[in-house]
Amino acid sequence: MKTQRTFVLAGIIAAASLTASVAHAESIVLANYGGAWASLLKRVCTDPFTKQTGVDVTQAATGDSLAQIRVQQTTGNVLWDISPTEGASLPVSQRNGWLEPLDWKVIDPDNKLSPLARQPYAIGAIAYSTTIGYRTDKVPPGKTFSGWKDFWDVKDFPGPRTLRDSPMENLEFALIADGVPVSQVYDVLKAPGGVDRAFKKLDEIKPSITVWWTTGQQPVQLLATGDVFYATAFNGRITQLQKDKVPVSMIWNGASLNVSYYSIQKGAHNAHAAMEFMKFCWNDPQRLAEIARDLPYAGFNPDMYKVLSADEAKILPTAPANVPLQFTFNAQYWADNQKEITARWQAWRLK
Amino acid sequence: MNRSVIFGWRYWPLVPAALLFICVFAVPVGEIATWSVRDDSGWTLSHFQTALGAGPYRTILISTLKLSLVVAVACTVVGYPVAYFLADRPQRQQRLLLLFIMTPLWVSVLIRTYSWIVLLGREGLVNSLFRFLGIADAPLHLLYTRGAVYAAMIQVLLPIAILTMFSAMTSINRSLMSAARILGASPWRAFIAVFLPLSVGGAASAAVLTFVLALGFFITPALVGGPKDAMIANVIAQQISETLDWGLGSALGMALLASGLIIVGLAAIALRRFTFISSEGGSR
Repeated sequence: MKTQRTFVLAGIIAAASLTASVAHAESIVLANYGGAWASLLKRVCTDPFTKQTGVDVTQAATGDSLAQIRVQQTTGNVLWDISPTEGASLPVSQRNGWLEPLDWKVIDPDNKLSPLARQPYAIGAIAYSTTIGYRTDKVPPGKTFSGWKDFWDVKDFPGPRTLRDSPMENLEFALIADGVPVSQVYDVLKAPGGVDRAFKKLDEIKPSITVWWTTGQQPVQLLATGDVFYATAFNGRITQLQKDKVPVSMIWNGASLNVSYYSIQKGAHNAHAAMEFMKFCWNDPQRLAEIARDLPYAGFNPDMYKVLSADEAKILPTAPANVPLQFTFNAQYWADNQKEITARWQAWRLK
Repeated sequence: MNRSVIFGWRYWPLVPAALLFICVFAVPVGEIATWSVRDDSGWTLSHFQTALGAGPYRTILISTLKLSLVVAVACTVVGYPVAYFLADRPQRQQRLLLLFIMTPLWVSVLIRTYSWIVLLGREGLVNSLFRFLGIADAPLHLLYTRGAVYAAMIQVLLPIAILTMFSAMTSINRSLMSAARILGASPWRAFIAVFLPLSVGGAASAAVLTFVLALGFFITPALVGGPKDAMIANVIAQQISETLDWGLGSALGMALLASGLIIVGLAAIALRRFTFISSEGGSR
C-alpha cells in the first residue's frame, strides 16, 4: 500500500514537472564561437529577448560548426535553432540541403538590411575583416607600412611573420601583393593559372613565415609577445590589442571583408522564435550599435551608423571609407574548390 | 544448478568493462572504418589511395610516427634513472617525490604548452637570460621549431613514463641485487645482469604508452611547432571540420591506428624474444 502511494506521488511530481517544462518550452538554442562575442550577445540580445518575449535563449559554444551541422543532420538530432554558417559553411550546407529558408517578412519586414546580409538561407549578423596587424615599433624608422606589397617586402620590412594555416584568403592576399587590384582578385584567381600565380607568390614569403596560425587568438598573442612583427588577424582582435596598449596598427588596404552568417537548420525545433530573435538582435540599429561599441564588428542595418559617432564608426569594417579598400570574401568559390586547393596547400607547406 | 552455472561464470567481472568498450570504442571505430572505405557511390579504396599514396598525407603520417618514436625513446631513457632512483628510496620519501612527479599531470596540457611559449619566445625568459648574460646578441630562434615540439611533448609525457616504470620496478625483488653482490658482482655488473633484464618489461610498457599517446598529439605541436611540424591528428581534424572530407579523415585515422598497432605489435614480439633470452641467461 505504502509503495503504491509513493508511486502515485512520484507520478504526480513527474506530471507536474512535465507541465512545467511545457510551459517553458518556448526556448531556442543559439550556437556561436563563444568568448567575448557570446558574453556580448548575452548582455545586448539574449537576456533582453527573454525578458521581452519569455523565450529562453541558451548559447552553445562550438569550434567547428560545419561538422556539427553535418552530424546533427545525419543523425536527425537537431540541437541548434540558430547555427553559425560563415565562410564556406553556408554554401556547403545549402548544397547539402541542411538549411531551412528564412522568412524575410518576419526578420526584415521593412527591407532595411543590406543585400549581403539578406541571403535565402542565412542572415548576416555582423561583418568582420581579416586585416594585417603589425607592430608599429618594429617598422624601420622613416618607412611607412602600407599593405600586402610591404608584407611581402622582407628587405625593407624585415622580421618574422605569420599567416593562417589555410589557403583561404592567403591566395587572395598573395595576388594583391602581386599587383592585382582588390576588385579583380577573384577574376584572376578563377582564371586559368590564377591559383598557380598565387602559390608562386606565396613561395616568396614562405621562408619568412615563422608559424602558421590556426586559432584567432594566436596571431594576436604572437604580435603581443613580439614573436612576429607582421600578421594577419581579425580586426576586432587587433582593436583589443590596442586597448591593451600594445603598439600595433592595422591595415584595411587589401583586407578581406567577411560576413558572419547565421542559419536555421532543417528540423530545428523552434524556427519561428529563432527568426524573431534574428530580427531582435541583428536588425535593430540600437542593439547593433551597442554591439559595435563593444567589439568593432558592424551589423547590416544601415541605421546603425546614425546611432554611432564618427569616431566609433571609422574603425568598423563596413565604414564607408574602409569598404572600397577591401575585397569581399567569396565563400562560393571556396566551397567549390576548397578540397583540391587544401590538398595542394598541405603539399606546398611541407615542401 | 543453473544458478551456480551463471554465478560461477568466471568472466562476470569483465562484463561492465566489455560493454563500455563495445559501446564507446568498438562500435564507433567500426563505423569510422566503414566510412574510410565508402563514398557516395559505394565501396571504394580511393580514400586510402589519397591517404597512403605519394603525397603530403603519407609524408605527415611518417613524420608523426618518427616524432612519436623519438619522444617515446627520450621519455624512457630520461625517465628510467628517475624511476630507478625513486624505487630505491624509503617509502616516506617516495610518497613526497611521487607528488612532485604527479603534480604536472594535474595541470592542463594547454597551460603547460603555453608556458613553453613564455619560456622560449623571441622575447621570452630564455632569450632574456641569454641577452642578460651576454651569451647571444640577437634573440635565438627557439620557439616554433621541431626542438620546441620535442621539449614540450617530452615534458608532458615524462611523468607518465616515470610512473609506469616506477610501478614495475617496485615489484622487483631487491634482494636479488644483494645476492649478485654477495656472489662477487660489481654494482654495475649486478645492475646489468640482474636489474636491467627484470625492469626491461616496465621500460617497454612506458615506451609503448608514451609512443601511443604521442601519436595523437594535437594542440602542442600546433602551438609550439614550426612551419613544417604538422601532425597527422591536425590533418585529420582539418578533414573532419573544414573540408568535410570524412572519408579521407577516416582513412587517415585508420592508417594511424593500424601503423600504431603494427609498431606496438612488433615491439611486443621483439620484447618477448628478448626477455626469453635474458631469463634463460639468468637461469643458466
